[in-house]
Amino acid sequence: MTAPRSLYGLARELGRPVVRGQIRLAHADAALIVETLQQERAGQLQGRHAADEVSYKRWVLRQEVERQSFDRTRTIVAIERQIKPMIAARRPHNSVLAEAHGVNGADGFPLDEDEVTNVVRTAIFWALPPAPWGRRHAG
Amino acid sequence: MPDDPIFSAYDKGGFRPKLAVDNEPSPGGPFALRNLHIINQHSIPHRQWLYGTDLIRAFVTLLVAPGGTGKSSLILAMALALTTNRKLLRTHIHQRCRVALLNLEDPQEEIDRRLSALGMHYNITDEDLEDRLFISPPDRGVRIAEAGPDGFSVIYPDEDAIIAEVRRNQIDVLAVDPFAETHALEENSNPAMVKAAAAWRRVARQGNCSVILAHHVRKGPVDSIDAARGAKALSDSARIGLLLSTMTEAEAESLGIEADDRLQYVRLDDAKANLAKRAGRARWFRLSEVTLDNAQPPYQRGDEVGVVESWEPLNVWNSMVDANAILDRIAAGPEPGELYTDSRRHPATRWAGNIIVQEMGCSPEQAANIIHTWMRNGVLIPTAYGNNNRKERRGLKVDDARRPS
Repeated sequence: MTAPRSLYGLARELGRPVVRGQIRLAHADAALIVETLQQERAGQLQGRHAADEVSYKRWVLRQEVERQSFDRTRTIVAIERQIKPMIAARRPHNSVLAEAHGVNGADGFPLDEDEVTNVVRTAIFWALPPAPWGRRHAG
Repeated sequence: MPDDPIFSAYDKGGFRPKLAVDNEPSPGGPFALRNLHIINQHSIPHRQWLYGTDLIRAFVTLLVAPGGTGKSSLILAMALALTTNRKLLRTHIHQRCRVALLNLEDPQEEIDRRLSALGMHYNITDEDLEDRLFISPPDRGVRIAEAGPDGFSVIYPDEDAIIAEVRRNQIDVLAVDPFAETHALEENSNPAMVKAAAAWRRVARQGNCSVILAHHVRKGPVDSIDAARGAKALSDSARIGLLLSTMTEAEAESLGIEADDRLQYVRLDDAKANLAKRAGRARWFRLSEVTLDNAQPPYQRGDEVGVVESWEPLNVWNSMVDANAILDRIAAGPEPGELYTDSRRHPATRWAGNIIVQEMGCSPEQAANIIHTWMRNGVLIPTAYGNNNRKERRGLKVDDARRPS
């Protein structure tokens, strides 16, 4: 027998895929409505109105999205701050990547592996000198 | 991600790769104008200074000096400082470097003597260098630029070889001594010097190193970077210009140095600085002598070799024990009803500098400087007064409100 699920657990869990763009906020809202109706049918709402429950869960979800968005932005800034001196010193790109993943891990992995790589790629791209004009459109 | 174009361009030290949106052909041809934007400052790479604000990666520094001022010794001392990451000449070293000397003037033995002397003076051994110091082959000249077979075009015989060698050894600083020996072009021709300087600039950019060119001066006074010998295009091509000159007689008098000793002191001025603020104060160096331990018959003593060391002029203000005692004596005047003056026409009696010379034991020139500073700061105020013989005179009064606390 599994432990009883928290009433608002799903609202918190949906924050992560929403923030990462894997599902839309409207889809997450729909999942919360379905879950609340199932809970009402099972008699788990202890007399509270289902519409109030959905409203509260949606608020929890948005709080979670906002918090995680802030965490991710903060981690991106921390990664950039860490890697820019390394890029200026022309350290090999794999050591820059390792440092960036280290910062992400220290913050509790708010970013995916691919997202960290993209942060590093972008920083490196803008640090590279632009090609001479004649060569830029050669291909 | 080994095949990522951005990462591979970065690791090879290349340029920014094309993006898909960049594939549109430019309608204006190779010289099409484009918009210039103020971009995010964090994405701008920092200037890669190596040695104070004297050497910067990918740029050329020109060191102009008359013969015998210690130009080669200074370059060698800079090279040692950079390779050992020690502030030998009080200039900040941003990162430890690999330095190559393109020595075209002195025989190898002389370089060995100077290097040994510097090592003795600064307590540096061969282990401290960690194979970071390089020198060009002794019997091979350099031709970075010379006239082509037709006599008009310019060819660059050694440029590619130098760039390849700089890259192979990961050289950070390339010291060329002297510049004049590296080309066979007309030195007084501006177009020719532009080409020779551009060749060294390409070495700096493509080799990703800093190039310092030692150059001689023309006849006449050495007062600015324009004193460099030959066409002016050379000094204009360099981003940083350093001027090394010996101490003048006036400077020796003002700094309290015996006139006979002044040639041992050289000053380094930021004569041209396109990339950083020019330092207001000159850096001073002293050429001291080190005796090597190489006495061989018939020579009783080892060679005496000059080494460059940093030297700070004595600051007379530091040796001033009690400024107020001096000001009290100036305020009291030479006798009742008389005031001291800033004029040196009566040095025996009324010149205020006499007080300073007596109290501090400094030179009259230094005393005059102190009086001048006090007058500029308002501590001493020139006033006209009638003396005991009812003649109008000019004298100095002390403003007590501005006395040093």
